[in-house]
Amino acid sequence: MAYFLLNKVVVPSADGGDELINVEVRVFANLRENIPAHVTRQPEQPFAVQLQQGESLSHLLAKIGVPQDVVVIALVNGLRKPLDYILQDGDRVGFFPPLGGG
Amino acid sequence: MFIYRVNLTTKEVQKEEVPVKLQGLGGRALTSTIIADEVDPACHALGPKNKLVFAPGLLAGTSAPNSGRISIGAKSPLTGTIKESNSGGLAAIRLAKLGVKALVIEGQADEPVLLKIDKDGIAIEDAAAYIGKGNYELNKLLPEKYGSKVAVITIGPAGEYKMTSASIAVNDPDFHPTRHAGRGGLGAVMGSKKLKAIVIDDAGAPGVAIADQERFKAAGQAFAKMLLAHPVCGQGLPTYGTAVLINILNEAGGLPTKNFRAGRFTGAEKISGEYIHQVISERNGKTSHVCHPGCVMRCSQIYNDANGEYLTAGFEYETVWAFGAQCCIDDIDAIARADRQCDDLGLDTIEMGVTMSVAMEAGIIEFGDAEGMLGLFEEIKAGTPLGRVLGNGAQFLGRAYGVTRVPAVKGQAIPAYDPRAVKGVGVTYATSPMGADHTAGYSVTANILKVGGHVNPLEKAGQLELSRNLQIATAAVDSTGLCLFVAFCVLDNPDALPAIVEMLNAQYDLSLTLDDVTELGKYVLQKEREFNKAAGFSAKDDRLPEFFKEELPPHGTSWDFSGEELDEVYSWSENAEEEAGDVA
Repeated sequence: MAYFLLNKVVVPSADGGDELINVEVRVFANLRENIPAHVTRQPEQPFAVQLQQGESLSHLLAKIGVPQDVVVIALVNGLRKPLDYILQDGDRVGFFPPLGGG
Repeated sequence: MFIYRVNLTTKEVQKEEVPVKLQGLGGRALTSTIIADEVDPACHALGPKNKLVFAPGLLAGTSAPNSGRISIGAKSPLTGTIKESNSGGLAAIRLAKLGVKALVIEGQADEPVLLKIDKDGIAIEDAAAYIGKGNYELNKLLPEKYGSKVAVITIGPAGEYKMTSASIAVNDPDFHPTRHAGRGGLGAVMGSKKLKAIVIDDAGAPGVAIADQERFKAAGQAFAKMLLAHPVCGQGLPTYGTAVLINILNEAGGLPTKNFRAGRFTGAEKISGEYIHQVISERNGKTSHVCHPGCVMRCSQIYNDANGEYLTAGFEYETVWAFGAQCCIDDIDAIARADRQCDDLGLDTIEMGVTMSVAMEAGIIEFGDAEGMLGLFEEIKAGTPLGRVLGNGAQFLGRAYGVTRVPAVKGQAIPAYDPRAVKGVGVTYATSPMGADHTAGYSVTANILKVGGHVNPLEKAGQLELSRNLQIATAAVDSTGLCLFVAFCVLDNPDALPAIVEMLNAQYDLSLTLDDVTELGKYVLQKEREFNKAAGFSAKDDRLPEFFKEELPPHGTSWDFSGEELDEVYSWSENAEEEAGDVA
């Protein structure tokens, strides 16, 4: 029943998910140059992105226009996650290129 | 090559051949060997029995990329341990080209002196005219007198006051005193000897002998290519400098904030490498800059003030953190002014930033009070009673004001990674013979940066081994004179370390293997630990302060290594068993 009701207001994603989730996104260093202006007014950080439930970090990258191969570290709520990690509503996400210092 | 020995009590200068046992050593291996063999571990670090040793790394003065580090060693007045602190700048190259393998300063002068080193030898000259002057003024006056091609090693007022946070400054190619042997109060040792400056002129110097030029050149070029191809060494560091770490440590919950109360700082973005990059660009500074010729990573920068005038250079992550998140200050210009003050007065930025946070803890000023913090530098500069307490570092200030929340190990302030959220570097803070020192075993690589594998930063598993291996490797790298940032490439590219070994073999006509590198690192650490043991240190000193048992937001992790576990880091060393017995 819940599925039916929700399905009325949300277009299902390719993955079959049907609920919308919101995540808080930050991108860092030269990845900021990759973000198209229509996604966010750079360099404003963080920005909110709406996704379908069941979508992963890879989907998120595609949505904000950052190529996967330039991201080496993805942190979700401060913890490193692989790009197939399925996002949850309210997740705090950070994407990083290779970096170092000290 | 040869060793210069200068006795400032008797004013005698000796030029010695390098004894066989020291011939294969350079940088940290050489300073730590000379200190361990020649300095009484029980001596007062600011008394005449301590020695101050300057040693370029094994590859210094050659065409090897990023080979400009100079190691400076002594018994530390801050920690009471042996100390090696290394710096970039021009000094290592100039000394190596003159054939100086080490410069050993002994005794104490009655009146201020400076040393002038050139191809003809060493002159001890009167330095009365330079007393009280800051490093910036010295970097103007000394080249005016001695020529624009010299390198200068100087101390500011903090060193003259024998403050245990005092650094030794080395000039960069623009005669800015922005490169420092910062840690451990070596500037106070130099000040105790009344040695204000060392001027190095390599005009007409013989240069560095290379046994097999072709082979050396090939290995050096291959190594430079590997550095440039590595995304951190070739792209990240030149673009954003080291402060690019602010945001990732903040996201990972390991950026120490408000004197290690939280792992995230709300003002992180305003002090980040990305923000600094933008400010520098807008003010027509330089976003990348070298500290010595031959650097391909160019992590330094020129930071101008709001009027477009030069303010500081070499504005590092550690410094930005220390005066920033640690003190709850998000005004990047105020942080840059604090950096400038440290460079000018000759103070370690890590020790001073943490000291400022302890001053806030003590209620001398409030957390977040940038102007108050800058005002305290005037106290230090003037040598007021409060200034002298501040200049002696975080632990000294904590004792003076009854503050127990002092992040320090063996008396040295803990740097910019919370040990509860980056546990591998916590192991290094606890166990390094240097006291709390991130560079001594930079586990941040595998914990946070995904360089050299991955070890979960919040869990204990794998951290002891990670820190141990990095401490051994670092002791070896510090002996080559290569900038430690080559490690980002070495840890990821299996061809990089062989290229370094190939350069050493070609230069010195040796046949070292990769195993010899590990053995060199172990030898250095063993020497340092022997000194510390004789100075009264034991396993009980290899611990973090009690308050790290508190949980750290956002992850809620605490420091949960037992003493026995930490003692495993040095289980390979000869005196480990005996030390454990001492504690039991």
